[in-house]
Amino acid sequence: MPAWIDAAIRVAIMLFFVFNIVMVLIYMERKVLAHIQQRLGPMRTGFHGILQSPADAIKLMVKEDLAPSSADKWVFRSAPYLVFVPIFMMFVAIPFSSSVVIRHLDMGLFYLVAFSSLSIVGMLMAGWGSDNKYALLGGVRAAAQLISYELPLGISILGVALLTQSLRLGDIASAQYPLPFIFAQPLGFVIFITASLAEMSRTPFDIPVAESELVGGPLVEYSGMRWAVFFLAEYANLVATSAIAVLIFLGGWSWPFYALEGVGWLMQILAVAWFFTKVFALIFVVFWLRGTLPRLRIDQLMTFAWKLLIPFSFVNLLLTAAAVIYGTAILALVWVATACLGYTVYAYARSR
Amino acid sequence: MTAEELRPEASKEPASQPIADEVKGEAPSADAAQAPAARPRAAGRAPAGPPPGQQAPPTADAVKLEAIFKEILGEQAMKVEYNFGELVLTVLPEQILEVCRIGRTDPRLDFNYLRSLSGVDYVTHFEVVYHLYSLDKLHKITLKTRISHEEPEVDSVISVWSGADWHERELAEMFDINVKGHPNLVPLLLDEGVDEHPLLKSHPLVPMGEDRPGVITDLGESDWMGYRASGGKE
Amino acid sequence: MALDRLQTVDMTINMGPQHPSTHGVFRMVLRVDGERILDCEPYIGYLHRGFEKLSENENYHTVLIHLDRTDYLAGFCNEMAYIIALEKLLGVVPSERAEYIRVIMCELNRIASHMMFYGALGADAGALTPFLYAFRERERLQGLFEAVSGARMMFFYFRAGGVRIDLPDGFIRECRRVLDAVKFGIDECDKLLTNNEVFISRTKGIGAISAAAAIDYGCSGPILRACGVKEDVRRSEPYSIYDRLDFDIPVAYSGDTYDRYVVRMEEMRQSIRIVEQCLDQIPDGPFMGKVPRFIRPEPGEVYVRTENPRGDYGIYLISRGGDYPYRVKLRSPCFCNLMALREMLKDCYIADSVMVLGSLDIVLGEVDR
Repeated sequence: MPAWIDAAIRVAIMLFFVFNIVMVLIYMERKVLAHIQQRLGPMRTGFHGILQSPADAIKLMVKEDLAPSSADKWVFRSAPYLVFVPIFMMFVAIPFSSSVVIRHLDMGLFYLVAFSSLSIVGMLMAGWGSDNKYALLGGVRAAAQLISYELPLGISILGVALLTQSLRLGDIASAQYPLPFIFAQPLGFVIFITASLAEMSRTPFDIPVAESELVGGPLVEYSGMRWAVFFLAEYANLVATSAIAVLIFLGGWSWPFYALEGVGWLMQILAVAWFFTKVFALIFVVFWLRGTLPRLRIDQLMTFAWKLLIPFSFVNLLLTAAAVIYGTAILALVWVATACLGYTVYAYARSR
Repeated sequence: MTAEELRPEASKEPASQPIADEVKGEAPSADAAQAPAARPRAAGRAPAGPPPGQQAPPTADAVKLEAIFKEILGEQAMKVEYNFGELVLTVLPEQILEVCRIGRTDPRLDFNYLRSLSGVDYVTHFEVVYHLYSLDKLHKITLKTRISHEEPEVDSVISVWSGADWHERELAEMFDINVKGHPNLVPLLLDEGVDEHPLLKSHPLVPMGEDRPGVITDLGESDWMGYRASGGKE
Repeated sequence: MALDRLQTVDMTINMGPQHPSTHGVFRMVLRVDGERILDCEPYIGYLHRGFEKLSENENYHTVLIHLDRTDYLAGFCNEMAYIIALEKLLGVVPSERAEYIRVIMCELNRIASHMMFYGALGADAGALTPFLYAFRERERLQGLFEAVSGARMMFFYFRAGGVRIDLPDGFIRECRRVLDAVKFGIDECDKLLTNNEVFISRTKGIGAISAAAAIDYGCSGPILRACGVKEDVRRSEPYSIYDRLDFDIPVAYSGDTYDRYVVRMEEMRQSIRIVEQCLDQIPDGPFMGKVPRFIRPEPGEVYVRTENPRGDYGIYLISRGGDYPYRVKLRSPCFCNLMALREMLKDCYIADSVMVLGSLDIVLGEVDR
């Protein structure tokens, strides 16, 4: 089989997988949020509303695709795809077990970080192309936020790369058998999760789409299928980012059951199942935050990134580098740094 | 100056008729009969004794305030009444701004809180009523001034209380009273382009749906419709 | 190109009248420099229904129907103000039991209204859950309102001299049960939002106004009390039976959004105290006092102010005899509070504008009348 046919099949499977997991996630979010808020959530469509997401998807597909007459047509129409494609491209490199993957890339980690920052362009285009002040503000907010949080995000995972001396995601996951990197890189993990929340525009960082003041930000003029593509991208991003977090901090498929590293098909299924258990646990936390926290303001968000997360991610990187050179005992310092971060956040919040 | 002169329309009616009689609403004039509130059924009824508002004795605060106002303004410049024991001062329209300013700045009065600013159309004249309150001294007063329909003008008290802003805009729009010195006297509540003054007693209460001048029923000229009609080209 | 040749212009953003966070059909035009608000011009009147004109053509009791629709979140409190004014003009004394019933309903209504505020402020801040928590508590209270008056929002329950109908059987027991549940619910709401760091950072120091400015603009209610002015009509000019009841007036001092929130949360607890006292003290007896057959007050005028959940709610009622009021002027607290919005929004961010507006807890039905 030529390599490109193999790749095409893998991509098609992955696309199918992404569509489906997004529908599952939307259903899950609605149910989780509903139960946090003492409601039932969707109950009418199928057993406990499990058909709600397919029903919504069908509805969105047949809805009229409206564009404002004054919109910049090309920019407006292509924006959703420019948001979705880079996020989908991330799935190309994400391994779900040692062999369930589209392509193992030697530069996997670098590839992921690079592609995760590309969707900014789409958001900015959506904000600009809509010819709407709310959308413009939202687009500019998205650009500012995503670019700012790209830095701590990238730097926080460099520590892991230093420890494993590899950018290959399979290697990184396998290297976490006795101890996942969340213990070696607690600070990195905290920074990564926080920055990812901002990258994904999830609560408490859902400032670009702020429902209460910007009524949806860049998405305000979108409807029907194009809006659905934004939604798809948002949830696909959630899966991808959670998968990355699981891969590089929570031990991927290898921890704590090293046996799952095996090559038998049963082992592979178990590995994938175990991997997704972790991913969904992480996603659940994200939904949980959405049910609990209000939204930050844009200036507070930027302050948080530039004054807190970026310095601390550099501290983390330096300490990890020292640990790599002078011995792992110095990793204790990373814990000290984490405690410092915790205290700083606490003191910063208390000071106001 | 006598209290009778406080009424702007004093020249048209016998000067001896006290203001209080008119406020009581006996024998409404021909103009007043048009007003829905003064239906003929009510007109014939004679009051059976003093109204409850006049029965209560003046409160200690009210007596004290009256003395202070008399000291500042003199005996003649105002008409003093008591309503439910509270002081009601009626002053001339040209005095109202000055009285308000004194009320706000005089440390013994210290009326720092404008509770309410209302207009009342008594058909023969307008009354602009200021309900003042002192948050520190906890006393209150009702200031009134009467202005004629021919020359409906009153001074703005926005320089005394910023909170008079929207009250005065409402007054101007509802009664067609010119509030002199108000920086931004644009209509507040009614639709744009409605040139009506609904709280005038001469303004009829027209049921919904009937055509009446000034109400926009055709949106054809608005931008939005033009935008739709052009297929969104503009 | 030299930087000084780059021209920038301020952007105007039109918020409303259709906007999820303006709490109705309120419109404000913000002039912004980036995310910062330079100026704000509020526009009202989209819900103007001519209450005052309509009232001049209604008989004295049917005016109440319109009053329920002014501040539709606090119908009982509005009715209270008007009924007191009418009773004063009529010289009617309400029955003792009716006084208690009225105060119970008003205070329950205050809790329900503040719950709405809580939920809406949470939603403005971007938190979804407070709204649902608040509505759970509101629902319990709405059940009581429905049992008593037959309606959930537009009550039309008070009458000159008393109330329309006596409390239903078992009301006092049920009310105590609901109060216990609501007490717990308020604590839960408190835990969810009050000490939340993100919420604090969004509200502390935002939209602050000084006591002097608040008084100057005629602000009242929680807005004024959050500035440190201990002014509550229930205390400064006690009406009905408030002089017999023991309750505190919560006051905060910085006048910002957070303090307004805290004051309202505490007010709910005080309202529960009041209702509990009323439930202990409520006497048996008729629910109507002695009232003339026809409601036809003598000529005269009266200004009555009461403490609405939103502040100082005044009714200026003029009678010239006859079946219809000559003039009904409503001094709406939100109308006056909203005037201070411009002052509050100086140097805020766009995201703060909805928070500050939410903290004013405006009800457009009452602003526009």
